[in-house]
Amino acid sequence: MVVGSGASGVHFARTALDLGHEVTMVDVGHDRPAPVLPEADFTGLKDQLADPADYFLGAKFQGLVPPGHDREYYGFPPAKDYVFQTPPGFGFQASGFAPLFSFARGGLAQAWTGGCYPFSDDDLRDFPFGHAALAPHYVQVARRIGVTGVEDDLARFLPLHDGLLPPLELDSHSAELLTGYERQRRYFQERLGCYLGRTRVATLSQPQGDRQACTYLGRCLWGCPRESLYTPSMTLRECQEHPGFTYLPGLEVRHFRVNEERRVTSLIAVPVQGGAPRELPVERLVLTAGTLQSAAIVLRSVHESTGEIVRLPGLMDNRQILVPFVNLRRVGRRYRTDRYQYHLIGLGLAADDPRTHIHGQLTTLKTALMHPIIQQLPFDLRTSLRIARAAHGALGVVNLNFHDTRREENAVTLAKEQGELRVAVRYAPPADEPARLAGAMRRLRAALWRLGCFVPPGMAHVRPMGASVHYAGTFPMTREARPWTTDPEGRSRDFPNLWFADGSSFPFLPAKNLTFTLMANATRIATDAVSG
Amino acid sequence: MNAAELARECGVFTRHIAGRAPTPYVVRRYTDAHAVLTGLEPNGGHGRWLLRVARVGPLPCRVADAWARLAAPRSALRMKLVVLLAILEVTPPFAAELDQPGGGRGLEWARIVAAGMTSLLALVVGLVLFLPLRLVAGSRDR
Repeated sequence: MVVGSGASGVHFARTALDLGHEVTMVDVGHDRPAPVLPEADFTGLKDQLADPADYFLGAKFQGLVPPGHDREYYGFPPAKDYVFQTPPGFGFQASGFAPLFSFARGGLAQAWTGGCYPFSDDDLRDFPFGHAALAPHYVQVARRIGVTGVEDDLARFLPLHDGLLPPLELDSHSAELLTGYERQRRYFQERLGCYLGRTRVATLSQPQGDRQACTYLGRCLWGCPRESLYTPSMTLRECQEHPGFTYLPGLEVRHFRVNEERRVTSLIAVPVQGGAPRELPVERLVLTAGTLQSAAIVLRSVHESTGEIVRLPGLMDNRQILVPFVNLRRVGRRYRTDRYQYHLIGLGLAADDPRTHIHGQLTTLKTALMHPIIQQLPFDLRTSLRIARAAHGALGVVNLNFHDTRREENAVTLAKEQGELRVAVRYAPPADEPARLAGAMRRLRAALWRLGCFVPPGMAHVRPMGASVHYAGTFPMTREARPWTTDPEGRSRDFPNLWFADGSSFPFLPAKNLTFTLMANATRIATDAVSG
Repeated sequence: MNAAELARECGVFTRHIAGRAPTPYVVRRYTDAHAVLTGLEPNGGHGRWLLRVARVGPLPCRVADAWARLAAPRSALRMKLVVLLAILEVTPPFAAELDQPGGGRGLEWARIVAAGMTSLLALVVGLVLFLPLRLVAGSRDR
């Protein structure tokens, strides 16, 4: 029995099915709407849609980024509203953390940008295994989902693996930045400790199965209509074709029941459309509902059976900074909208301790909506629009990611609110964070300046904790047995037939998108543990 | 505001942002936005004055906008203008017109400098016009 259909859940299920097991997946499973005008590119959509504002901004203008927003540079597309739609009555408490929850078919990675970054031995130092244990599973997942990439300077941060597809075509701006770096490689590496290369992305550069290769429609953010950009709902669809797979959508798992030996005996799930809770018998339970939701299920289960409210320390997330820049050499130049919209260049800032290196993704602006940026320029809108029009092809954003460690003060627990027990999240950043962020910004500014790019003062945005949605750490894998931990195979030390195959069991969070490792680790757990 | 007043306002604001009149679709969506969004009503004397001046015509609108960007970035005027900009950028023919640079690099730099100077001038006029109004309205609002 698997709970949740996100990146971890579907790859766990797919592996278990391939190994001959039967899998039942319980899920709320809000589904994505059908893509509109699948052959149209970004510009064509504006021309051909009868009501373009409805598509791009939403019926209630929920895709609009109004003045005074928190300086996000992308409005969230209405077509992806389903990713963050919550069941009736859902709520939480949070302090120092802005959590995002998904009950979508495919989970939070339905809205990811496809970055696939294997963890190195340094990244895995706190894990009870090294890179070699994950390596075959990275390859397996890469072959399943289609990951493009090449060997370049970023390999020192991102271990290479087999199964990589040829890279996507660079847009002209990204190509110029990469060429600029290659011309000054020595300066970048020796003076700035800065390395540039191609990001590895789960977007097909050649057809694979039912999915088509990227044809550069410029609609990545809006939901790739060709399914070139991988999302977990595609693997769920494959699982659904398997005779050993049962999918139970429309059910929100609240808690599980245990017997005297603390074995999980059943799941209690509430139909999201209303009706009496259902009790589903369980032989082996695998939680892949995402770190916060998996924690909530365990916390509620303990409370149901003992009345105790447990506190789970160690919650982690990657701090992110969005750094917009202008490439002064490109101001006034036209740009092509029929290009890949997301990041094609990655950036690594080396640190003395390789666990604390900083990873960034560099996205040149092509087909995003511009009103979030235009309104932030310090002029009237007519002038700002004039400047943005000339500078559009010169704009880009770097998304810097910082590592996180498990700390006692950052925890998930339950709290009473109006008679309801809600999941409660508390987070405080480490004391040295401001200095670390400032140091990274100085190095990034210097690197961008060497590439002819200027970072407008005051426009870098430190995103709130929770915004990266790289949550982990509540049931860490450890070598020694302790309560509220798991063994190296993700098996709970508190409930012998319960496994955590999502980010819950990560004991450290390097400065990388963890989704690819979630998939590889879930595949590892399915292969080595549950099947064993 | 009734539909006719919103349509007139949309006309002035579109000429300020895009230099031409809106299409019926833009007017309709601008009106729709007022039915579902909050923050489009001024909440003080200064905000009301900004809107009153901006509705006079594209030039006064630019003055009010330049001032509001710095002095009242979350005002109803700025909110209305950003809503309209968002509609225009996804709506033909504005989408194409507003998106790509129109000339060579030298010409574009010249246009940026000219637009910046005009905006600065608009800001100076806005300062003279709105600062006293803000001080008066501010003391009344308190």
